[in-house]
Amino acid sequence: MDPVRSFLRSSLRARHRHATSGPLQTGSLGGIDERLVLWVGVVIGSLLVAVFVLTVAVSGYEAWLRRRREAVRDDVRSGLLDRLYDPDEPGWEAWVEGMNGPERHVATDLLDEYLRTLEGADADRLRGLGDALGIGERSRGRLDARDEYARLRALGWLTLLRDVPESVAAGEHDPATPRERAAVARLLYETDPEAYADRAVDVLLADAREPFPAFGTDTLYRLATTDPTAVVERAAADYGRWSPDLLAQVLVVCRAVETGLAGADLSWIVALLEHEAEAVRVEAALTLARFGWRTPIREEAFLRRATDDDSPRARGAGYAMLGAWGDERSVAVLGAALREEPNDRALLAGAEALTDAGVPREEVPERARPAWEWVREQRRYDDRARNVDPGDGEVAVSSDGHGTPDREESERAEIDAFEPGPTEGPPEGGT
Amino acid sequence: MHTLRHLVLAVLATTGTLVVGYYAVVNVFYLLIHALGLLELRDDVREASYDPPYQPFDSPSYPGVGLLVPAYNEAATIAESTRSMLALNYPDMELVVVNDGSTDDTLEVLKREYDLEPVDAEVPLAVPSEPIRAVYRSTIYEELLVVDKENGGKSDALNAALWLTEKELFCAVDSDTVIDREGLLQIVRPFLAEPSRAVASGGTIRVANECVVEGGVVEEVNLPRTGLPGLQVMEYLRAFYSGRLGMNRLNGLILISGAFGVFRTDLVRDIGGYDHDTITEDFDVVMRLHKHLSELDREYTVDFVPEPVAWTEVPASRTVLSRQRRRWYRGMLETVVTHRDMLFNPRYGPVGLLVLPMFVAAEVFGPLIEGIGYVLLPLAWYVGALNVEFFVVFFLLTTGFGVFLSWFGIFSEAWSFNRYEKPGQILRLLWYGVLENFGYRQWKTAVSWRGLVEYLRGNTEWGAMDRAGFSTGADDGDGDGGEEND
Repeated sequence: MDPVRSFLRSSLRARHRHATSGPLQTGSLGGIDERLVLWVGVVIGSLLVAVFVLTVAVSGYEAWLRRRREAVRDDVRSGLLDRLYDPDEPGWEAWVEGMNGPERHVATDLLDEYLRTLEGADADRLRGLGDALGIGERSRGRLDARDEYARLRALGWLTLLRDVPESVAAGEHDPATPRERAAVARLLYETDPEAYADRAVDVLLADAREPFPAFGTDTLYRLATTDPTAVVERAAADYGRWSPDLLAQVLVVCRAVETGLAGADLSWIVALLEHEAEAVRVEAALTLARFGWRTPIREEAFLRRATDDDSPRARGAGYAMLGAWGDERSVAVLGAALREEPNDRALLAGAEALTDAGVPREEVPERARPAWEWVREQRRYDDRARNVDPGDGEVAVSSDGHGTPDREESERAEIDAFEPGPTEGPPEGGT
Repeated sequence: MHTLRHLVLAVLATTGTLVVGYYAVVNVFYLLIHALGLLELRDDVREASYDPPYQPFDSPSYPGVGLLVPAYNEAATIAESTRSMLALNYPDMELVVVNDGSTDDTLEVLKREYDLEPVDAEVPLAVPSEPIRAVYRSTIYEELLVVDKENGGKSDALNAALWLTEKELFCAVDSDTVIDREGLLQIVRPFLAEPSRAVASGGTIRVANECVVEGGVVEEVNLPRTGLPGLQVMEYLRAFYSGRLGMNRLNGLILISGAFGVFRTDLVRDIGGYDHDTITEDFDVVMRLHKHLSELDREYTVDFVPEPVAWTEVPASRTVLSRQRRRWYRGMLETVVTHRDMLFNPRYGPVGLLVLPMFVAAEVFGPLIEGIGYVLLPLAWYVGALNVEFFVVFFLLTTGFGVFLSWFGIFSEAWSFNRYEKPGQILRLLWYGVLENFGYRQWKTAVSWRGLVEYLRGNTEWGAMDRAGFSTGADDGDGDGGEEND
């Protein structure tokens, strides 16, 4: 029925009663409207009852669980620590057999917490508790679960327990997502970095197209620290297939393991300075900043191209690269570029590069001088806050602003010692 | 006479039908959003249950975060809140506090407590803010930078900090906010999971009134016993645990609280930073990000993460709460009007086609239409035309369904991260969910109407807000700045 007509009908009816019975009269419930009201009332009433009961039940149950677990937490913790540091056998199996549900839950919680912080013999001994609780066995059984989180949690536990299932070691486990690839690679790396390094790099990068989560980047970094060659060779071979975001991540890793890459073929990184994605050009320049003292990539044309990018961010990275190299030719190109630099943030990056290269104030282009003063002041305060006395001369720190001058010197010397090809030695204008 | 009465009744009937029809439609949307919110919350709980076995503090892959803290006349709390923020667990963090032309001792307190010294150099960047008087560095904390500038309001102060931070991400924080110690590690999760797609993420804001705060940390979570703060706990739970999660599920999150949100620094600089001409800069900046990235055809996510929590004092007096809510309403209108070209525009994906239109229908028109309903009912009764069917349906759709939505938010809380651990607290929250419908809700409707009138008159004031700090049981809890910064 048309609601307007219905309203009018019942309103007029109400009006009639109002006239005869007083002001408190209202329209009557009747016909289809009454059923509608009833229907809406039943639906909303049912929803209210359901959500009320569920909420109270869930809250009560959670509180009950929490109380039971909290009541045993201190005892389980002290029992665990007693057995961990007992000079005799810990006897995990016997201990676990006597536990009730809440105690097992708390023991599992504590095991997770301690395995993330302990190392060496203590951690090895504690892993026996994981076996006694049956965590390893359950986790192996969940590697093929449909739910990604179940698989990830299983892989996480196996990593903490240093327990590589045969299917994973043999490459038969096929991770479905970047996150799962990272988890499998981490399991291999943590269990035996020497034995599984190549396999772990394969898992991470062989079929990769898209970027990793941060955990994956961290795992790649750990792998590259152990065996940089495997990572760099894979990158040199496959970089053309990767998405710009993945490429940028791999470059960040290469930059972080700088010393291990001495002597490797870096021409692919040089090529990436021409990549269409700004992020890749930026990371390529910053990576080359660590390896740039090789003659072939320091030709004049190359240097000028690095400072001629359309993107201010990429130009800023190019300036950082030149400043990190710090030799006379690089500094000259840097200075010339800064005289024309229109973007204030790129100018700031250039001023940082000049500071990295140890360029004195009188040689800083007029245009970059305010930025240079700013950078100098910021670094002076950085050093003061770190309780380093910078003296009264110019402060020189590493290109990322975190290293001390001494550390920077020694790192460069170390890299030089590894450098098999023709080099120009430490940057002339360096620290 | 008969014709006039018929006309009045026809107007009442039509309006009543529209009001009830409107509520039927909007409630379907709310139900959808809350159901999606529950699904999203389930995924968030599962996500939180997986903690990858590695150490963030030892990793080169964690993005740096600059905490940007605008402060206006915060002398009472600034030392403590700065200390609290410096104590956050995060591997690579910078804290930029902006004294936005305070007329009290905010800057002096900071100088004294953190051993500040002026940087002897001009800022070499064209910062889009009121003039910067000086920049200070702490000689104790390497990560602390203090900017002293002319008063320009919260957006202006945020822009000054945004241009000076060097970190890849920034987190806008209100200076009266207490962030959980692990809050930053949690709120950057979307950036860790999808480093190339994540552009912004927001955390949950909870009510700190009557919580025990020690050393900048919420040590004991208490529920306000009575009054306005208790009702606001209910509102915050409903807004964050249902509304935002549901929008997130649609990849259409359009609100990230200005009190606790993380953004990609270069992107917000690319869109010109925060808009000076708005009083809800947090809403506006998210809308502009959606617009900018959609127009670039870029794949991106704006995420809500329910577990990182920031605690804030909420107003305990009706006057201050009214001022706050009127400002929010005016700001919402202003932002919606500014971005009206996104409405029903397929270019902006789910934001343009679904979330923004329904947001406008529910949040902009909702209180106004409800207000009309409240006027119609006594009017209809007076002229003897009060129709019981319509009255009951109206009551069920507003109050009945309103209680359901509130309880749904409480259920989400109890089922997921469960910060209110005692069942007694949950029962009290359920009671607040009923109570708010009798008086408080109607009062908020009147406040919204007043906000509309102020907006139409061009009122852009923030209103002065005093603050006394957590430990003294302050009774206002709004905003920071004179132009105030809330």
